[in-house]
Amino acid sequence: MTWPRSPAPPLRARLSAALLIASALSVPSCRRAGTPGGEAGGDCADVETLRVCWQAGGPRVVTRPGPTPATDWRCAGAGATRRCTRRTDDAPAFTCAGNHCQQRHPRAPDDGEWLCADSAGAMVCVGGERAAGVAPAPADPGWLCGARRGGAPGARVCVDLSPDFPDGRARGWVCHTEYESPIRRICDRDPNAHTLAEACDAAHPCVDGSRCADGWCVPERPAPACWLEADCGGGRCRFGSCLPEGA
Amino acid sequence: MRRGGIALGVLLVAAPACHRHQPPRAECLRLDGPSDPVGFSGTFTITASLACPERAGGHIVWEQVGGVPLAEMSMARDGFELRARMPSLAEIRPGDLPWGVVPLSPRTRGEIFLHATWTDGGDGVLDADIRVAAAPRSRGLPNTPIGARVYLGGGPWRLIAQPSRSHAQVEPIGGVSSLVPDVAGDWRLKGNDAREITLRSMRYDETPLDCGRSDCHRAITDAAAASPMTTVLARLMDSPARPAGYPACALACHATGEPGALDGGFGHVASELGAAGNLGRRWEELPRDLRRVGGVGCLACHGPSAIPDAASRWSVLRADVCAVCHDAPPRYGHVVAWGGTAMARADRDPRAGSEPACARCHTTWGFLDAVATPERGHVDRSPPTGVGPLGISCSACHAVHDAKRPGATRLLRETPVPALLAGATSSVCLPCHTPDAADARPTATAAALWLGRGGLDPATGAPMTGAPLHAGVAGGCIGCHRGGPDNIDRGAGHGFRATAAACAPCHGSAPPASDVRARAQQLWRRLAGRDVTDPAHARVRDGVTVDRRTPYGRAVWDLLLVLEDPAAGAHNARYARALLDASASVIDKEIR
Repeated sequence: MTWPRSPAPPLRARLSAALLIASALSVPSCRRAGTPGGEAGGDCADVETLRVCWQAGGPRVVTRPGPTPATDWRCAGAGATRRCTRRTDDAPAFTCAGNHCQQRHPRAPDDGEWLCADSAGAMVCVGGERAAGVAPAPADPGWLCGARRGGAPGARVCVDLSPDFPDGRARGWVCHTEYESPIRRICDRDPNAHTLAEACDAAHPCVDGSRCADGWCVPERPAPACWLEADCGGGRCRFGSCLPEGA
Repeated sequence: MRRGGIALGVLLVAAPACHRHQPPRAECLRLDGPSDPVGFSGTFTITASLACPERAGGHIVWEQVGGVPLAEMSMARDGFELRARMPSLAEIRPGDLPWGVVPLSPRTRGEIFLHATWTDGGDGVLDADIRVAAAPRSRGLPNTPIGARVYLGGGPWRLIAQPSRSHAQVEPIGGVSSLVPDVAGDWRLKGNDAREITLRSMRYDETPLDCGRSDCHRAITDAAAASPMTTVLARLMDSPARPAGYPACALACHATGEPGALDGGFGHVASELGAAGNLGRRWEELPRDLRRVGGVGCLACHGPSAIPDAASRWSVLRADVCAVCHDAPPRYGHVVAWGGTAMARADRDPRAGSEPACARCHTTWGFLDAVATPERGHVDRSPPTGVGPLGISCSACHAVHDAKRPGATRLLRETPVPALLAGATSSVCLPCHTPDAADARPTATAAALWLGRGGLDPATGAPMTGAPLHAGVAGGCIGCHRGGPDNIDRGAGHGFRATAAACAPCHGSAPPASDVRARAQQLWRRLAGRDVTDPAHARVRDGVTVDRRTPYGRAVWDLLLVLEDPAAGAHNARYARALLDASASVIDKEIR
């Protein structure tokens, strides 16, 4: 089943269309709205189906390179090292009954031990204890990871800003991971849920910990370090990163 | 053998496992049989069909090519339908069942292989193989996977507690109590002798793998990461020489879990993943949940859920744990070969299995305790009474998750070299085949004789040494002791027989019969007035004292060194004769 994405505000839509035409001139593929060529000099990541770069002046939404439709593909890396895999190639599809969907064998940052939770369209995991008796394999490059502040030695926090959703879109879903057997990720339809990658403007503010950039709700530059507020020493923990108080 | 007009020869086919069940001409001959175990004494039907339009008619001849002989077998429809009955558990595994969870290997679970050959009376020939089993394999541990039937010895058993969401019941199958754990949790059962057992069940894929957490088993976790068992699936999946059909053809022993069972093992997870469970790619491209149950990791031997309670930890030292893969003759005959050795019966004398001085070399738990490094500490893994002999099993010699020296192979345990053999290349055999200076009498002296050590000059008490004639044999002890049963592809060397063939490369033919044993026995008869009974070290009430402070005592010591080694004449005849000469020179005078 699929749900239509909320349209962007008209002004931004026009701007997006212009950008799309401009980008199409240089890259002959179907792209979502964004600033073309905006990755230069910035840290970039996929946020849901957006491509966001954090530069000195703040986050910018740029053209998302890669195959389409973006909802079907999970990508990591940038430039020549960017790699995309079809989501259903390495994680099972959701099975849905009405507005209740579940995904068996949800993703995790690597083969280790993780405890994961959803946060307004992002998935945040804590842990990282090495899995015993498992042959080495590289970590999933789709996760951004860092040491947990104040955690046990080796404890890490990882965030996936583009996790799996039943329809590929974060908007309108409230998800969590259920650890009671069978372990699964559960997403329930909630039209009132607000997430990252939503359209935004002055009348439509973004969820806490994100900001409106180019008409879309995007997180602050991710620096995964926290699982709980207490990890941030007075700051706030949002999407796995500590934000300064008042930010 | 012939049953009901069907050729039923137990032809032990030796073929690569990953080709064995998929002969090249199988595409047009389809066999449909039970994918789940059919139960002991259970009946089953296999139907054959022709999948290619150009093939029609004809008839099929069936042949059992592996496993225990079927109890009954009949054909219908020109062989296109085969009906058969599995043997009972008692037929497959004669004798009393062990108390508690019954270990079942591929051999003892009634795994049988059938080969079908279709002919149309002319040139058309097709063939295909199929495998059927009576029961899922079992390590015999109380922590068991969900979805795999557990058989219980010592019953009948009854449930006295089970997880709240469980609907599982104890069912007698072939006269044996059995249970299929259906949810994660604990089952308490009571046997007919009022003893209780607790089974703990969980899916494999939901069992935490945090064994190295908080330094619980960090060193083991480090070592296991590089173990060839851990990496077997990854290595072969990524190998340029990846076998055809791999890994599907090898999941039973290169991954965790029972193929076909809903146990959260590799096969089950792959099926739950749907398209994401595609195995035709590299290891690192597999989904995380598959990698966690890929390879022979912790749970493949220790079982899912949690480490068993202390009272049950003895069971992981049984050979049955390894047998789930290494007891599948004719291809994997390690356990069959080992079962014929004296090591497999080392604790059949209850005293040998219980007295600490004996248990050190007559039991696996005693040996592991004796060679444990101080940081490992003492762990009591002695079995409860009534379990019966378990022998010196796999884990005495094989340390599957110990750190290895660079270049070390075969997962052999690194043990300290006994003081008497200082300088010898380390061998796991040495600790239990070398006398200890503290022993009242020399015990198990083969390694000492082999290296020409251990003797005492009766006159002076100085050490008597001899040339280590066979010390240069590559592989040490197993350079010669590598013989075993015939008709086994792999593992026959676990019979540890030193056959004449082992001598041939150097001696050209079998060495001449040695007079050493006869001379030693004759000297003993003169000394003790009776024949020696093996092993000499266990017969301490024969009236012979061994006081090494006296020339006579040292002479007796030297004699016992030779008597303790039934193969002294082969290990080092020259040194043995020197010991006997020295011993006789004193004993003869003493007796006169």
